[in-house]
Amino acid sequence: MNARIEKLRARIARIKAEEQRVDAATLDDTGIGRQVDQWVTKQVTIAEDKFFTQGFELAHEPKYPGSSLWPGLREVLKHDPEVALAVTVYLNQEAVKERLFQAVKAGAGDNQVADKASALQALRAERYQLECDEEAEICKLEEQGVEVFRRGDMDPRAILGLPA
Amino acid sequence: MTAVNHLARPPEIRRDELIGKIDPAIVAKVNRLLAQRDQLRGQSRILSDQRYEIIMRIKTLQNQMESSLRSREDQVAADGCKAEIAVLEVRLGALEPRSDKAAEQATAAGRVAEAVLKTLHQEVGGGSVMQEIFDSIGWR
Repeated sequence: MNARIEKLRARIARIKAEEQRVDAATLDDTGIGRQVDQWVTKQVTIAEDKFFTQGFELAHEPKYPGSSLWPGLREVLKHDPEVALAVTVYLNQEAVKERLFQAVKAGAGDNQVADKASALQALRAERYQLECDEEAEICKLEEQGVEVFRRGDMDPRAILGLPA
Repeated sequence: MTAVNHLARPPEIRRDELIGKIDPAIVAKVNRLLAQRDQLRGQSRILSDQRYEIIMRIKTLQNQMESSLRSREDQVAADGCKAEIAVLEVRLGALEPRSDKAAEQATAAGRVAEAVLKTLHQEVGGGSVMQEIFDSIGWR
């Protein structure tokens, strides 16, 4: 086997292993915190939109004399259980954030990557370039009459010289 | 040209037009990859057949040897079988790694060819018409 191709293949294998690790990774603490914040913010929005804005009813007497139920709020809670959760979170935002973050972090493990998408994109771009180099080397050897076999998992776009 | 006229043109013209969309260097490379795949498959098949024949011959000789020894009538024939089996086992031992390697190379070449054709098909478009064209020029 040609030494340069062997070297390229070793580097490609290392990048592939790194891609798998990054792909399986969880977000880092900042990312987890951001996701937790987003989730809590969404619950707050739901509570405000679907529950508290209905509260204007309480400024009036119940619709039916003697009743303690206001139909708007009652209907919201009856048909949309999600609102109950949203109101609970709304009233305990910091405590929920803290507890949720700890729970998520405990299940996240040690393999954490801050920005998976960017990290994967960079690794794929690097691997694509190496595969193009590998293909160029194979073609050069083929022209010299040396038989070189391509890897079964080579990137077909690199083989064809198409952009990644 | 109207869509109707476009569709009414003979298939060979459509084929040339669509294939003309592909860079000739890519066409040449695909042809080379497919030829390489077919060659490797052929080599693998030959070695696999040779391996199978030797295995079957060894089994036949083992049966003959057991039969000769059971009847206690033909020790010479049994010895002959044993000697031939020993030779065949040596040949098989030498053939197996070559056969395994050839099968591995043929599988890799098959995967490369399949991936390249799929990618090219997606790249040039043409849907099922292009697939038929690929088939018609032996790109499968």
